Amino acid sequence: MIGRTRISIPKTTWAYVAILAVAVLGAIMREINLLIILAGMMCGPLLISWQMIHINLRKLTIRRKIPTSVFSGSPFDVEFSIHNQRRSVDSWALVLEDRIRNQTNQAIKMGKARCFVPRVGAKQLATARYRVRLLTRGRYRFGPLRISTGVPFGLLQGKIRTGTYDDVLVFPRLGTLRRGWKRSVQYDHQGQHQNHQRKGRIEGNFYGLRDWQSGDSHRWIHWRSSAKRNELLVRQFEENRSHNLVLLVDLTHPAATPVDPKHLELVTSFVATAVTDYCRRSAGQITVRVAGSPAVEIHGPSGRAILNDILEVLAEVSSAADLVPHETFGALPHLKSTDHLVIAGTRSIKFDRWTPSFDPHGNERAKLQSAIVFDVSDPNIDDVFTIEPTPSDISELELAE
Amino acid sequence: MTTTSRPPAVAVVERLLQFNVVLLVILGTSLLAMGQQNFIYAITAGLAAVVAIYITDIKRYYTMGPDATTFAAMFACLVLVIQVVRNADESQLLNVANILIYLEIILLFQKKEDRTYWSLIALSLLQVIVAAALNLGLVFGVIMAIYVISGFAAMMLFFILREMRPFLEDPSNKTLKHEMEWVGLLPSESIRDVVNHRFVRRLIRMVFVTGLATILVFFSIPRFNNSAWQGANRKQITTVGFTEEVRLDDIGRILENPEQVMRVEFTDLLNQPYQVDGEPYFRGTVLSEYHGGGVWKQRRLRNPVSLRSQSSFDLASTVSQHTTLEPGSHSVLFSVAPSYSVSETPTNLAIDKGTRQVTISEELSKSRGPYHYTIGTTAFRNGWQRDLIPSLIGGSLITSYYPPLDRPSNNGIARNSRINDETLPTVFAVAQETIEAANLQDATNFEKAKTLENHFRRGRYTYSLDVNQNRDQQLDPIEDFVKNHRSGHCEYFAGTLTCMLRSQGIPARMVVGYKGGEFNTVGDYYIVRQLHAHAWVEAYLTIDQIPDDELEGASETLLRNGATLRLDPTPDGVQVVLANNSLPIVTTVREFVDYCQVLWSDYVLGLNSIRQQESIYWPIIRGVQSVGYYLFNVDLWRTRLVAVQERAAALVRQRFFGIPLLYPVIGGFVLSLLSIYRGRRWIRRRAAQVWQRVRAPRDSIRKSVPGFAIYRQLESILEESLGIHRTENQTPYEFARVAGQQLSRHPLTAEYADLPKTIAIAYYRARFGAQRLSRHERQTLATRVKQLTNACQGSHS
Repeated sequence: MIGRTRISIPKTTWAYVAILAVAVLGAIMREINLLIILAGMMCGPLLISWQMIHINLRKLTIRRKIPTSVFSGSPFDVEFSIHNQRRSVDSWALVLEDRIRNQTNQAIKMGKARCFVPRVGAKQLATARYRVRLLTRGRYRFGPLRISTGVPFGLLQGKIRTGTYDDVLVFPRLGTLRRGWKRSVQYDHQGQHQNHQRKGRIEGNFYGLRDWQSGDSHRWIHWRSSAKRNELLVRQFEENRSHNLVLLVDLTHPAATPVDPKHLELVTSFVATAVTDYCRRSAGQITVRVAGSPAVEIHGPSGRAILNDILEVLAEVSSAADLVPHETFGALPHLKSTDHLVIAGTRSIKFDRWTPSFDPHGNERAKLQSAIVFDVSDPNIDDVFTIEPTPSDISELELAE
Repeated sequence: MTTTSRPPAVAVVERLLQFNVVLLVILGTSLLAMGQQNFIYAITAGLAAVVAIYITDIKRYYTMGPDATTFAAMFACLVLVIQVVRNADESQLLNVANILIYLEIILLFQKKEDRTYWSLIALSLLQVIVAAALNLGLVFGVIMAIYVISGFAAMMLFFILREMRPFLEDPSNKTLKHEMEWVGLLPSESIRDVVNHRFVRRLIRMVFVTGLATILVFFSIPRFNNSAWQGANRKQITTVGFTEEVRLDDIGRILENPEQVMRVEFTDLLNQPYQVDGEPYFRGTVLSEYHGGGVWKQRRLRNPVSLRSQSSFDLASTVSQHTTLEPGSHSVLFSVAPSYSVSETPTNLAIDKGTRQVTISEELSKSRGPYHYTIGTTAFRNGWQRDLIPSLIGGSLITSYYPPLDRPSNNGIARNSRINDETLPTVFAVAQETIEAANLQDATNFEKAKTLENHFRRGRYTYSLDVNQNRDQQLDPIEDFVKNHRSGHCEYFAGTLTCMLRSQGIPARMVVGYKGGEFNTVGDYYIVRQLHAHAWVEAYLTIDQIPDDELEGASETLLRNGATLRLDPTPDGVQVVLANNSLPIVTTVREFVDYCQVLWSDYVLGLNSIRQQESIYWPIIRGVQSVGYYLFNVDLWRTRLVAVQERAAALVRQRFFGIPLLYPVIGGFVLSLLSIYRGRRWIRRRAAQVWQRVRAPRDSIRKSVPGFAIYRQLESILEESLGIHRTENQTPYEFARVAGQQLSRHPLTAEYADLPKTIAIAYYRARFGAQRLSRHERQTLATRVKQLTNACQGSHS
């Protein structure tokens, strides 16, 4: 839906208007014919601008093409296709201005992004795009779109507003798992050290597809799906020797001490990176329980589908006050000896507070004792996980120095 | 982002903008300089602009920094203060205007940013506004037109650059420091989508539209004063044209004004076009009083009578002069003297008996349109206009219309006509010398007058519209003309001859009017323009002073009061003098420029309330009235409809054997028009289809090609003669192959076994390949088919 054209006078034009006023006053007061001509000549551009702005912004159809989800910090393109439905008049020098609002985190200021369309011929379609990088995870809303132009002289500025909105889900930023993680969580240990390469023998029940990785047998490639997706996909089977991963994400905090936003971002990034890494490398079962707002549990075989589900949750999850982590986590699943239980949080976790309510026999305590705990507020977390600093971090660092 | 890393397309556009802005600066300063009559500033600013664009914009050797800019601005202000203090009595406007030039020069040497460009444009605009109050020549208009084009281009380029620049930047250079950051991804070459031939077309269209709108506004805005502002440095523009008094104090070149004055047609008694030989003289005003200083005025008319009372007795030689006179701010009508009334002569015309000047009772400007009148004249004999005009007065009245020469009195009080031997000593002396040289002291006034007239035509005097600026202001212009220059226009010659004649005691007066015109051989009429305005002399002769040969054919009764002799001292070939010195194209261009200057002066600078009413409002009102009359006059429409109906009915009766089909025909016509209107889209579609068919020939057209015809002929022959017919699933080639096999089986047709294949291939070429068969090929195939037909008939028998 396109709104009404609104015309405004830019600041620079006021100088022009002042000169015009001088000419008009001189012409009227002294009846100087040449000044009347000059005033007319100066009025011409204003009237032409008025008319051309209205014509330029009329009968335009605009569509936004935008990815549904992206990783935080990764630039992506927003493309517009502009259709000029007029029969004979071109539109030119259009500026498209998009409003970007973080729906999840209202503390983040609304942003604007713009792109320029040099010309859209009559009855023609033109495209324009801008590249944007969103540094914070969450759900972003793009829109409303404002189309403005100042043709042909820039003396006036005309704007219309379209009510087209699109949402983009920004996943947590992916970082790098360091040696500490690999030391603790060795779900691909055998693959690394025993050069275990499957030669095509079916070792379990087929349950899904995943991206092809180096070392996969060519026999496992699912050619039909690969052809459809235009990328190699391999069949996955229940692997008896796989390591399952259980990830407990603690985003709770006492009401008095809220979570540092940086720690919150760091822990979501860490979990997102770990899950992504697991889904790429291993074919086991993955369970993610998040104690936050909202509290969520996701369980399933490793793969693209579950990765997407987990990232969607991580994109929008926020910390929750006055929640008890162990109540939120509930009973732990049955763990095999090769499975990994990882707990990630924004603070240190005391296991003694976990037991009474749901673990009368103390079975869970043993499991918890074997859990690998990562506290992102711990300075040693750099040994486990690092993330590239954002430009805002750099600028802050520079200022501090 | 620096300019060095800017893509070439953008750099080209920016350079274009720089040149445009520099042009604006130069034009603005030039206009200002023209107004001030001081070109030092214009030259300085022009040089600074050229130097700045080279060393600052192109080479980047020097860019004025903030400190230097501040210093320069302060220096400019100091200069302004000094100028204001020094020239306190002069126009302060010029001093303020000059500081605009200084500021422009400073800005030119700065790094060009959006603000710099905009400031330069604004300053030059201010300059033009100041210049508009100073300079008023036609050149100003021309330069302003160029300025407008350049200004529009500069503003458009500036807008495009300003808008596109943020989007053209290289994304890799962008540092992301905020939560949401974006970069434009506009290809640098996309600027060519905007600045291209369409840009020029758009620019021209906008200048044109603005010009039209400005003209509309300019002429429609009501003026309230009768005199328009003529500027601080007004330069008087003098044009050739009729005036009711003559002033010889104009200095400078007099422009030829081609504005049409009247259209004149001469007819004889039988209302047939009358051919006039030579250039007719149309009398206007008679100027008999010389006020000195080159000023001639007419004496108030004393004895006007209705022209209807003045009838010609010589009906046979009376020629009617039909005149259509354009509106003007006088009441004088132009006519060939002597003027008489004819049957069509309007009743409101009057003639003064003493001057024979024809006037109308009200001023022509109030007539709101061209004025038509018809006057009779007996001036022509065998197509030539006579020099003698019978006088309607005589005796003592003559001195009233021909003021006598002042005789020097003892106390000098009697000198009132300013024509005497003290104010015009050389004129008197030359006249006396001329008469004495010709030994005409005792001759008649006629001989003396003719001799003095010829005095100016002997090559000693030249005709010129360019009045020398080095005139001696202490002398009377006529005395100065004879004594020093001997170069001038017709009014100088006529005025001088009048004075010379009076110095010899011959009653004389000056007459202004028009001489000749552009004769239209198709319509047999003269178009008389302002540039045909002329001045000549009339000398009064009593009947006894008129030679016998001049009296031939003239009625003595008419000449009983004497006559006035027309004398034209202006050297012949007024136009020739100008034309001989230049090529025809130059003359045409000069005339065009003169005309533009006249229009500029009259309708741009001098557009006051009166002229606006005359030139704009009244014509519009008249047009609206006419349209209203034709549209809403019921009687008129009724009459016309009846006439059309009668004509159409008569036509229908003739064509359709008397059946009254008029209304059905009209109804059908209207219905057809409505149907066409309603079905215009269908018609357009169908027309497009037909056009496509015409352009892409289909089967129906291809059937006419020879290959197809021969193949059909072959099929029919084979079927009729040999019973070979093509089945539904056979292609022509397959059929030809089968037919060839069958033909080869019979000895008479065996030699034609390959013919079906050959024809099938030719058919394919014509049918699908859109290739026409050559004439030779067609003839060969036709002959072979004929032979096959014969062979088939033979085999059959």
